[in-house]
Amino acid sequence: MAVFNPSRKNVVLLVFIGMLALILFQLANLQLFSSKYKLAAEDQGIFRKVIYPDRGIVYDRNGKAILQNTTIYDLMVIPGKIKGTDTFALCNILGIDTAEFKKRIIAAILKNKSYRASVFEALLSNEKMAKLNESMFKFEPGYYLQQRSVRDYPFDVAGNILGYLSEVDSTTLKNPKYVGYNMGDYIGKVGLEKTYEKVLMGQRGIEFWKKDNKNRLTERWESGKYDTIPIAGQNMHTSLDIELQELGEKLMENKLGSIVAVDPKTGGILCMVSAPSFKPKLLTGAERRKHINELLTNPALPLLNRSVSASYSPGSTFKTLQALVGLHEGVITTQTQVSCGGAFYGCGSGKPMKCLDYGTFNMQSAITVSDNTYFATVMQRVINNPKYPNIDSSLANWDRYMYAFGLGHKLGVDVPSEKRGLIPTPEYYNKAHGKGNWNYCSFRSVSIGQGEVDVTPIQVANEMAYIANKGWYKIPHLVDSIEGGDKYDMLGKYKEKQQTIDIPDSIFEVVHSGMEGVVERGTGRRSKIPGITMCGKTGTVENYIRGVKQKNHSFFAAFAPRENPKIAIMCVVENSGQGAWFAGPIVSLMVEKYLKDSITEKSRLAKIEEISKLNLIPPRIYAELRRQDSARHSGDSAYLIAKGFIKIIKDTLELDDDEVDALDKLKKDKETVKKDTPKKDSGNSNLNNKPAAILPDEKKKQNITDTVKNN
Amino acid sequence: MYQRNPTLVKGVDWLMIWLYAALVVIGLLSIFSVEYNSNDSVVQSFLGFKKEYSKQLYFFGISLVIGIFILLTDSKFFTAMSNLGYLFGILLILATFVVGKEVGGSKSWIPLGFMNVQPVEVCKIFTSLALAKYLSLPETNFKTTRAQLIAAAIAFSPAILSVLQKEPGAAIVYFSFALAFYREGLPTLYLVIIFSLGILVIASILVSPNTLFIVFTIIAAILTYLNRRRIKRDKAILFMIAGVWLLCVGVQKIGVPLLFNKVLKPHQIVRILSTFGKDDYKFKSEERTAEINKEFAKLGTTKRNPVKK
Repeated sequence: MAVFNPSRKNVVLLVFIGMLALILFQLANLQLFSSKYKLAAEDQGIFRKVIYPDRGIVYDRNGKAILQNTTIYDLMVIPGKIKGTDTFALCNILGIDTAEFKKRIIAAILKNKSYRASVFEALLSNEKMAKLNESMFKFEPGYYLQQRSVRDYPFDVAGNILGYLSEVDSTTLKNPKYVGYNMGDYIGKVGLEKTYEKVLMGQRGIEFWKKDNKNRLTERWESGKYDTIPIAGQNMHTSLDIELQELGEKLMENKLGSIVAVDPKTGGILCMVSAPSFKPKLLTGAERRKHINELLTNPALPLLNRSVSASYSPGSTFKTLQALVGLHEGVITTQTQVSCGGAFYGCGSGKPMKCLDYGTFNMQSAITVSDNTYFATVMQRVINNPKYPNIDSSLANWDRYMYAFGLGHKLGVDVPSEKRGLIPTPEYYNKAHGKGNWNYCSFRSVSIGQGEVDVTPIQVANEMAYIANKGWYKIPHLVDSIEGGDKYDMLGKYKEKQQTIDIPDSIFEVVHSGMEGVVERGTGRRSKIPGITMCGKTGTVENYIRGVKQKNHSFFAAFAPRENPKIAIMCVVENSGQGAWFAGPIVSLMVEKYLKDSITEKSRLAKIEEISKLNLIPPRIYAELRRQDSARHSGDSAYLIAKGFIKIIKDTLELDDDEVDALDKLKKDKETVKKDTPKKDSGNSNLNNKPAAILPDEKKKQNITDTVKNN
Repeated sequence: MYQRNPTLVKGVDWLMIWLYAALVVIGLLSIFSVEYNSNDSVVQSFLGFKKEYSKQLYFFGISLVIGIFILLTDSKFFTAMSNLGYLFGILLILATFVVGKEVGGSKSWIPLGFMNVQPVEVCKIFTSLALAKYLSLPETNFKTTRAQLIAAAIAFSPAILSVLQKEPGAAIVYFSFALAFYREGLPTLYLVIIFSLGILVIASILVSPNTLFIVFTIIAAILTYLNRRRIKRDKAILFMIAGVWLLCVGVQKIGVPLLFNKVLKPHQIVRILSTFGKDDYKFKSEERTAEINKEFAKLGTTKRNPVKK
């Protein structure tokens, strides 16, 4: 038998005391001195519940709310409390089967355990909400409705400029500009929602809640002593005329292109239509994900705001600016006459640049009939002006004018994703042709708004405002004022006049007269508005896709009335034809609506309907849609073939030979679709091969060659 | 005035009972503190059997009744039943190899339908009783190697089976019997070795491997210097110092990393690291690091429910 040994007992006791002392020491260290686990412990015991404020409301120029907040409900579930609930009735209301029901319950348990609430169905539609409200008592306490605030678009237009909210992504979280956002927060994704995020979002409030051992919120911590209340976002007043916007979107239905109208005196954007557009309400409801996927894959790019993000050759609308440069530089006078004998022969050999109206023209009449030869001559004189030592300096001087007119650089509009367009510089041509290897004839088509020059629709509208104001503009913008003040100084730049070159009014008068002539008796006479003197300019823009000529873009830019202009506007309808045919009439209806407040004349109302119904979507868009459709079916077929179902169909049905062949052909669908996928532009196309519109994802890799066009 | 009934409470270890009661109260208060809601009536919620602390209170009550019965049972009963109990415990552990249920990667649970039982835990009681009985036998002389080996076999057999069931954490607990062995006469050297190994493992966790290597080498060099005359006479001392140095380095460089990377389970590692206030042990593979991080995340709500600012 073992002998009891008191001294050894003491050693064992000492060991225990030592270990206890060690634990007590660490306990004291963690509790009293170290802050290492303090935050973790607080997080464990206290929950900081973020209270999101209502976002600011956006109004149009007439005080109508065009972007506001509304309440929508999520159906929440606590899986541990649903025993005995009428599951069948709930599934009926929600339109789901029991398999989907089980899937959602399992997902809820996996995500938040069975004793915590999870979202069972987010953003209930009005119909489901109405049905649920009637029978909610049957589903409690396992289910309950939780309200949340979402954005509402009372007019359901202007999706591209108002923008929408989306859950913040990891890239945004890394951006120091958005410090303070967390996963799960919502943020303005495009449009005004993005630009004015700081203004609209308001200030979040925080409620501190105690948590129990299962992470359930139990009660306010310290009776809410340290809570902060949310402060609603600031309301904003815009220059947008929502009725004009509605009309613009109606006129641009079934078309690709843009309409931009600005108030020349203030720079306030009256309407900004990008076609095709999207109904912003589609991106707030329960089926947001489905809709956004459809929009993202649509080859007509409805999510792209063409007004600021697509650039086009300006075509003949550019000639008005050449007139200003030529007259201000003194290389021509208002009485300088140039003859059109069928083409511009100023460059000697090579393909001549055609002109349509034979005859002799002065400045005013050349604008009215849009004479190519006249403006090719004007720019030739500007570039070859002996006042400048070489072509580099004369082209740089010409560029100076273009920048002053608001081209070749971002204007700074308050709509995101603005592109700068392109005004070719001496460096550009030096790089393309080699220094000393180019002259005016290398880029003569720029004189008539073709070739290398690219502009965005907003730039063209602004250009009209510049001409209307006789030499100045204010940066186009949507937001005029912010309730409670412009705390972030976002509007200051829109109040300043932009005037870097002082061109006399007399020069503008000549241009105005020429543009008035365009509408009264020239190329844009179809756009004439009874009782309104409008100055306009048509443009018919040649364009190419991968070397294949497309139907011309129809351009029209104008301002009205001539005296005391109130609206400067441009319209482009992609691949539709001449400027006078489509863009012109659209502009005339828009101007009439804005200046007369309404269109009442029957023939004009009929014109609205006629244009609205006109389908000018280019065939390539339909071809792409068919290709996408085919790709989807190809996937289905591949699946059926893989599973052997195609064979079963062949075995069980008596098919005609043609049909059997068709089924066999399905097997090759995937390969065919792959082959059909357009390959990236090789980059060897010349300037003639400019895309229909230069969209942000298309890189301009064309080689520089001369272009000769007829406008 | 209350007077103890000397016959009824005779032999009761009151210190142990108070310690037990204190631990239970601390545990109950800990659960109460995280689940308490000031809107609830304390008495009602304690008695309602809905809250965790209420359930624990009821379990405590049941344990108390069972405990009283155990205390009132004649100790001879335990002496008589200890070997049988131990055998039953071992058989239960062996049964898990056949009918065991795998929970969290270890096949050490027996499902009973309404609950799962982990025999290796139950066996701790039987092992204690069996060991106590063996050490109390008049013929046991713990100074003999035979007695030590038998005691070790009784104590560590369940531990070995536990390791085979991939539940090494439970096996570690059995090493606490070393203290009982020491009290009964195990040579001090064994205790020193066991504690040295423990300290070595802790040091390997707390101190960076290279620093510890340098420390071991310096200590070995100092010992060699101090014993230089004795080493001249007896080379075995040098070999002993070198052997201990090699053992320390081996444990630190190979043993502990092996234990942490291959043997112990993530939750066990996290418990060990947390005890020493460490949360940044450098594991060999990213997968292992991810496993441990996941386990750390389970401890606090911080990573599961990020605080919104």
